[in-house]
Amino acid sequence: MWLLVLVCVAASVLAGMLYALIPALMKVRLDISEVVTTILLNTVATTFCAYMANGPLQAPGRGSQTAPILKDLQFERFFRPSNLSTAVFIVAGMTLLVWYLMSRHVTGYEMRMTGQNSRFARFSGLKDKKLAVGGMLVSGAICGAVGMLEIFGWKYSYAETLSTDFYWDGMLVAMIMGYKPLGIVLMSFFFGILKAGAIKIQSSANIPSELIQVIQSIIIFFMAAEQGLIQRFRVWRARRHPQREEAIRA
Amino acid sequence: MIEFSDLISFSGLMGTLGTATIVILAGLGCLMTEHAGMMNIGLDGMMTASAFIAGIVSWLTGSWVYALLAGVGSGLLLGAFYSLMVVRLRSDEFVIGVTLNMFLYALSTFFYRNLPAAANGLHLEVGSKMMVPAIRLGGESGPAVSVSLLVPAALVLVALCQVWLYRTRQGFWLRASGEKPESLQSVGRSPVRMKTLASLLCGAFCGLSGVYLLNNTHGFTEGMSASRGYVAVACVIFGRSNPVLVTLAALFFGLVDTVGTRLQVAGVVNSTLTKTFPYVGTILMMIVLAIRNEIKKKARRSDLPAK
Repeated sequence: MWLLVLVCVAASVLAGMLYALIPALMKVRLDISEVVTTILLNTVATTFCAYMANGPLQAPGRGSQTAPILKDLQFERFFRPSNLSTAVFIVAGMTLLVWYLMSRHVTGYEMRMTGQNSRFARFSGLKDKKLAVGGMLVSGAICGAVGMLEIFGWKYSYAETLSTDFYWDGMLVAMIMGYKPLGIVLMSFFFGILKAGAIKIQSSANIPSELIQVIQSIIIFFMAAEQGLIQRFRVWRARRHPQREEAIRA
Repeated sequence: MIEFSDLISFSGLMGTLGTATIVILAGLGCLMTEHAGMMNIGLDGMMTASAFIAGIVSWLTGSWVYALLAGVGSGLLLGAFYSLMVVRLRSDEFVIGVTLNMFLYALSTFFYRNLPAAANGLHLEVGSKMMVPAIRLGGESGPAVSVSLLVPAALVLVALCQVWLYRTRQGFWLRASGEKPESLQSVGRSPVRMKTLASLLCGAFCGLSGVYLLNNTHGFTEGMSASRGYVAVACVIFGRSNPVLVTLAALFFGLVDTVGTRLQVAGVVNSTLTKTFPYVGTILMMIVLAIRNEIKKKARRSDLPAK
């Protein structure tokens, strides 16, 4: 059985890598903005999977869902009401691996350098295109693995939509925390609490979960504008109390 | 089987133009911010929110003029918010765009579900009297097609934008504010002001696009923009922010979309699968055009040493 799980992991990772390879090659070879291609490919993949779940792979009598995976393949759950499963260890392992790669390994340093200034990186002898493609492949592999954990960890079958808001949330968390792995973990916990709370509130108090999304976006707006707001506030204070500002500085 | 002559026919072309107009209008907005050096990913949310507000106003007042004004007005407000966040407070435009999409989608869905009118049957319908008037074309030789006035208006706007951007001083300043803000400052113009103007224009165009979206689908539904805002961004990027080229790209998108719908109606392909057509088509077109450019570049390079 473990062999089968490993094959599933390999397949999902490979699928993620291959799908990430398309925008990566388009970016490196043809200089097409990866922002646009990835967004378009998102729609293509989600629609195609919805078609698969509705059509060829649909299990009879289960609506737009595939048949559930075998019981033996499912990850063990810790506490019954919670959907926390042993998959969390794999996620922790991946986080540590990414943290090590990005902040403690030469490759991570080279990647960050390429991202900040690809011309400088190229002139210092780094293979910037290879690094870009490599980064995309690793990110595709991680996302593929996450998709697999989503199914094997707690959903057990592919329904029409799997990850509609997860990818935006993940990207926003990463951007807001300045691409620091450990910060991302903390922020993800915060978002996770909000999400879990939203589901509970919806079922118990009949408040639509969209409201939580609204709150979440307002938080992100403020976090994104943090630097600008602080600067504005400093300027405003300096204008109001010129003497005091000088006194503080002196 | 699908009749391809039907596609080239008058009604087929009008269908293409009708679908493309959503993308054209949103694209015009996006290219304004793109020229000013900002990438606005938030088109989708802006369109949805404006469509929602226009829908409510048309339902309340029963007049398309008010609906149009409300749609464009809410677009302007959103543009002002975008410029406040990105231009004044210097936040990351990408974060703001994505969050704007999430925020506006959630907000409009929230209000929509709590609407008294929506309680019975979740559909905010807009009657034909509350829509922007349509003109009827054809009729003598073929079937008459009614086209919303916004479609020709969009084409006129494309021409206006082309002239404004490349033939007037303001347009030049706007482009300078994105390409080299320092040079704009050195002639005594404020790049911040031009960027704000670009965001406002973007909001207004998105509002217009939202109003047209509302007209095209005869009412508001959740997620009605169907990530066409992103398609508009794609069209802007590979139309190199030139209004006419962006329009051509949008027309191509509309054509593929129409072909998909026709195939679906003809029952050749599954309806869910045809939804991917426009997106796959857009990506393929990008690849083909990029490869052609590459070949051209190589040809030019190989010409050089011979001279």
